[in-house]
Amino acid sequence: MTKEYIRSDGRTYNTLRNIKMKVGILNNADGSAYIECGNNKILVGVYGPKELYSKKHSKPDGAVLRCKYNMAPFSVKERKRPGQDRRAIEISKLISEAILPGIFLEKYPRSSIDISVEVLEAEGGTRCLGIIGASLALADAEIPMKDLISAIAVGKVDENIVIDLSEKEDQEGEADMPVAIMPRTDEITFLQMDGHLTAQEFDEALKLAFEGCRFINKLQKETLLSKYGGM
Amino acid sequence: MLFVENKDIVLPGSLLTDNKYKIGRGTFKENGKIYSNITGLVYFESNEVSVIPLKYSYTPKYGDLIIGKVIRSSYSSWSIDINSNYEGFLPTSELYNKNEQNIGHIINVQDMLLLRVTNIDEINRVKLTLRANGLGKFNQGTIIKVKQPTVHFLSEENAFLITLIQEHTCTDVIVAKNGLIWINGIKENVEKIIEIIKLIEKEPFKHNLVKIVQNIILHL
Amino acid sequence: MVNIISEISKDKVFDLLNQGTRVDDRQFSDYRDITIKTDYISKAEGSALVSLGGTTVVAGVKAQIAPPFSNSPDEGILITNAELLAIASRNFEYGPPNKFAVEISRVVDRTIRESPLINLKKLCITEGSEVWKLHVDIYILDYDGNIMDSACIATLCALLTTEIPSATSINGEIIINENDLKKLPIENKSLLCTIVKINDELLIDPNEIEQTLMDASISIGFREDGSICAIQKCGLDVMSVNEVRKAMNLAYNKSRELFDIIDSKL
Repeated sequence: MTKEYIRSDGRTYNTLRNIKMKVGILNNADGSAYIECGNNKILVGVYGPKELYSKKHSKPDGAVLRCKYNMAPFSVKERKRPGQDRRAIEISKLISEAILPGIFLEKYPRSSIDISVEVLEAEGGTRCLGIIGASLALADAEIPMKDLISAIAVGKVDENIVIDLSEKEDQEGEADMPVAIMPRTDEITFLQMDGHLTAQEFDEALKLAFEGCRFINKLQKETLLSKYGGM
Repeated sequence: MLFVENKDIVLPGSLLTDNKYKIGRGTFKENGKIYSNITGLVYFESNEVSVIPLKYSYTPKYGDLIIGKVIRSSYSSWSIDINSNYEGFLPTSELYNKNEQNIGHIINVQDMLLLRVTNIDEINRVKLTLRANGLGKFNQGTIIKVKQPTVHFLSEENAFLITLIQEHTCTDVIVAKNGLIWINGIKENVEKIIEIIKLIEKEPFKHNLVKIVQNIILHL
Repeated sequence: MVNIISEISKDKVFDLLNQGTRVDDRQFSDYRDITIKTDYISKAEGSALVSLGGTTVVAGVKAQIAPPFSNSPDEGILITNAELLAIASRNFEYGPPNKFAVEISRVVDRTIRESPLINLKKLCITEGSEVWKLHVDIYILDYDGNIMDSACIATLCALLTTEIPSATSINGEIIINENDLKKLPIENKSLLCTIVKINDELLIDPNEIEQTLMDASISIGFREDGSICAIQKCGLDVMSVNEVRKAMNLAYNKSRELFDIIDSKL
């Protein structure tokens, strides 16, 4: 494998697409985040923690995290019918599991925390951006957390291990592996892979994912600090 | 050693110190090190470290003096909006005058009360009381809502400022821990005090803020 | 009486109305600031992100080729759908569009269909078998009242900037040329102007608190030439004929301003 491999959109193996993050952009939500990465546009809103009155849905030992991932009908090339499909249900579950280890849910018994991840435009990598955004929105809502969760996809394209796969690379590449970590402790909270990788390639990909996550984590921190920077 | 300075803005997971501090609100301990768990301002006090949230979110604590609004009445208690994620409840047994026959005459829905937190159980039910000196119903005055750093500035760091304001303007001021401030006096003084509070609210971390505020009060 | 500042109460709104102002210092006939960003979603054939004060709406247009409806075999199809996202307000919930969302999409749909904004006949490729089908999806991202007007402005701007590839039928086969993009066949521009009645006063562009307190509201669709193309009265209270006339005059004058704003921002 050559490190000089130039990808179809001109990036090298370890460059990310242009990424932009903002927090606190919604008026009504308790916390919110907006992320643009390439042409991806993702809006995340958090409501809560709020007391749940129904005993059936609440837990006495902690908050219930309810996460919804949803794609706008105009976010993809072929119009997507409104409503949750099987893919959205799976991703909702994965995002909530990826951020859950970071949250001190036990501080809020009998309550719920509602997270909505709205994909306004999709171009590959929305689940990772959803995790990054959810974590930022939770921090913006001042919900106690152990750490911000960072995520990035790595994969194999034309025999090369690359980071932050574009839509085209995702479809044509040999492997796609989104990873989310808690950067402070280097623990993995989310890992998925589809495609083919040798054990050696997996190690290499994981190492690259960790580098990417550290970079994302730095951006997340800067985004939060810049909101209060004027103070 | 301290890894951040006093009054720095910290984020969830920021390492604060590995000294033997008591962990206050907004912090957690892991492997002997103390970290922040929210976005907020770090405060190192003599033996305790805490992180004050930057927004309105208030977490009830035993003994806090708070202002609440009655939102519902039920058979044996009232539900009180205490400007927090949780509602508080005021049982009839925690009323000041137990002999009163018609409870509806004392407390009604929409009333504003000055209360104290007497207990928080393991599932975060916040029990409130009116049974102490000075607690009760507000019949007049103005209430403003402020963010948590302002509460911290006025009630913990520089509590003398409130006394100073009261003495200089002959106005009653109560800073409640849940981010509500009650002011009662003649209209123009109330307006002046609100201006001062807004100034603090704008930049609660500003260097020398105490001196600036003190000066304004002395020149009222 | 304890007075809580920073919590806008019903009494405060009424008090201010009596003094001739509103909670956000506006005149009764003022719109809030409008920002328009078109071509916001590059995957959509047309799109617009519109904010009206604290209300933010995004509209996206997707075009595809489909068989026409049997009662109009030579016309293209236009479908409007609105969704109130759960992130927009504490009071919105997940699930299929509720009655408010359905009402919004139908009123916006009527305004642009009756105008007509688009000459649907020109969207026919082969009569009876292939026409362009336009889906307009309206997403309410952040709520601070007056969704009706913001949704209509977003829809109008999205459709005005929509570009679809040229499609021709050769020997029964559809040839799509993605490189030859053209705008939609626009006939008459139209938009909605909403007026609420609170305490017998008529206010334009209600914000969230005003919308909650309103007795009744009336949304009037105007074409650019000044004629009326849709009306919807909502709310539980009645309106007198005089009030309706007054509202219509007010809305007509405001619609002129709105058209100017939209023209300057596109």
